[in-house]
Amino acid sequence: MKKAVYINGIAAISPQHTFETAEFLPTPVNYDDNYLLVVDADYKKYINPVQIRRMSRILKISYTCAKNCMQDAGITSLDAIITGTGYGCIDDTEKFLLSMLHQNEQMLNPTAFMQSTHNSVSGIIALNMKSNAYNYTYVHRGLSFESSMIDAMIHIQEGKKNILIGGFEENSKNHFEVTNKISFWKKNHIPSLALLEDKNIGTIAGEGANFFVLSADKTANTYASVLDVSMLYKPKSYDEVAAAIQDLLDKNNISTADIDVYISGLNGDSTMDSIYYEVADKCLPSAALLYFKHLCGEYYTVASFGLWVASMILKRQEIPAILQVSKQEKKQIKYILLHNHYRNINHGFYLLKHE
Amino acid sequence: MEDLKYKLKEQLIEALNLEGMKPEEIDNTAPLFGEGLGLDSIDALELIVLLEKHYNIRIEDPKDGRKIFHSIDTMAEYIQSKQLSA
Repeated sequence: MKKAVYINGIAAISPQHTFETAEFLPTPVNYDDNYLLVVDADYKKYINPVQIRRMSRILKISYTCAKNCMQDAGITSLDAIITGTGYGCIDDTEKFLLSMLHQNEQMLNPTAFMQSTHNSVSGIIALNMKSNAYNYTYVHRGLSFESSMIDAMIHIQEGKKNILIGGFEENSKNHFEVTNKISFWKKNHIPSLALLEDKNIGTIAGEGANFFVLSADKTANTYASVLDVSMLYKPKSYDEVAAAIQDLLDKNNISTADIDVYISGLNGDSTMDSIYYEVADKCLPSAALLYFKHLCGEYYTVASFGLWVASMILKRQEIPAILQVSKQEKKQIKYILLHNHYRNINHGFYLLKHE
Repeated sequence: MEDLKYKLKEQLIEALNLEGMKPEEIDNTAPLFGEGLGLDSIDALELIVLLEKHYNIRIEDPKDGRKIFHSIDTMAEYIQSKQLSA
C-alpha cells in the first residue's frame, strides 16, 4: 500500500514577505519592474560570520531557507537532501565565465568557480549539518523541482522518514538581458500585482528559495499531504493536458469535482496562459482558480513557491484575496491541484490533500 | 609604503569579501592566517590571484606563500622588493 507523504515543515524566501512571519501574505509587495529579487532575510542569524563572507547570494538565501524549514518541522537530522534548480548558482557561473573571457583564462578567482556548480546548495546544507545522507540535485529545466519531489516521494515509500527538499533560483542581469532578447520578459514595465491585466507577451523574471520537509509521519505541524506528482513534456494541445490531469486524479480515486482549488501558473504572458484558463473552464469548473506568479515572478523552479502557497492554504484553510483570479467561497478546502508549466514545455502537476 | 599597505588592505577586503571590515581595522603586523584575520587555504588562492592581477607578481613556488602572506607588512615588503627589482 502506498504510504502517505506529509509536508511537515515549510519555508520560503521570495520577493514577498514570506519568511519568518506567522501571517500569510499580509501586505503584498508591488514591484514596478520586470526583474524581481527576494526580500532579504537576516542571513547572519543562520550562518556564521566566517562562512557567510564566502557564500554567494543564492547560497545564503537557500541555506537560510533550508535551516528555517527544518526548524519549522522541528527536526535536526535528515534521511535525504534533494534540491531542484534550473540554473543553479548562475550568478557565480557568469562571474567565473566572464572573468575567463575578460582575463584571457588567466588569474581566475577560485571562490566563484567553486560555488558555480548546481549542487552547491545541497552540498553546503549537508556540510553544515555534517550529513552523509543521500544528497541529490535535479537540473531538468522546468521540471527540476518536480523531479526532486518524485525522488523524495519514492524515498518515503522505501522507508525514509524525513527528507529536505527545495527549489531555488536566482535572477541575474546577464541571463535576464539574454532572455529578454527572445521575449521572455515584458517590454513594458507593469505593476507586478497587475500582471494579468497586461495582455502582451512575456512575463516578469523572479527568483526565490522554497524548502519543505517531507515526512512519513504526520505531526502537529503537518501542513498537507502530497498524494501525487506528475509531469508532462511538450503537450500538443489542451486535450493532452486534460488527459494528464484526469490520469493523475484517476490514479488517486479523486474526481474533478473533488478539487476545491486549482492553483495555476498564470504568468500574464498572452501566449502561455490560455491552457490554464481552459483547464479551469473545461476540466475543473467547480474549483477556485488561483495564481501566484505576480508575487514571485517566473523561474524554472517556481512551482516550489506554488507548493508553499498550497501548503499554507491547506493548513490555514484560508485563501488570501491576492491569490484569487475568480472569487469563490469555499467552506472547506480538502483537495488542491497545483499546475505549473514553463513556457508550455514542462508541465508539473501536484495533488495535495488537507490533513 | 604606507599607501601601499592601505591599498593592499582595501584590495584584500574586496577580494575576500570581508563584510563590514575597514582597512584601519587590519593590523599590519597581525597574522593573516590562523589567528588574526583567520584566513584559510582558499583565501590563500585568492591572495595569489590578487598579487598577479593587481601587481603582476606571480608566485612560482607555493611554499613561498607562507612567508609572503604572513601579514600585511610581509606582503607589502614582498611587493615592493619585486617592483624595485623589476
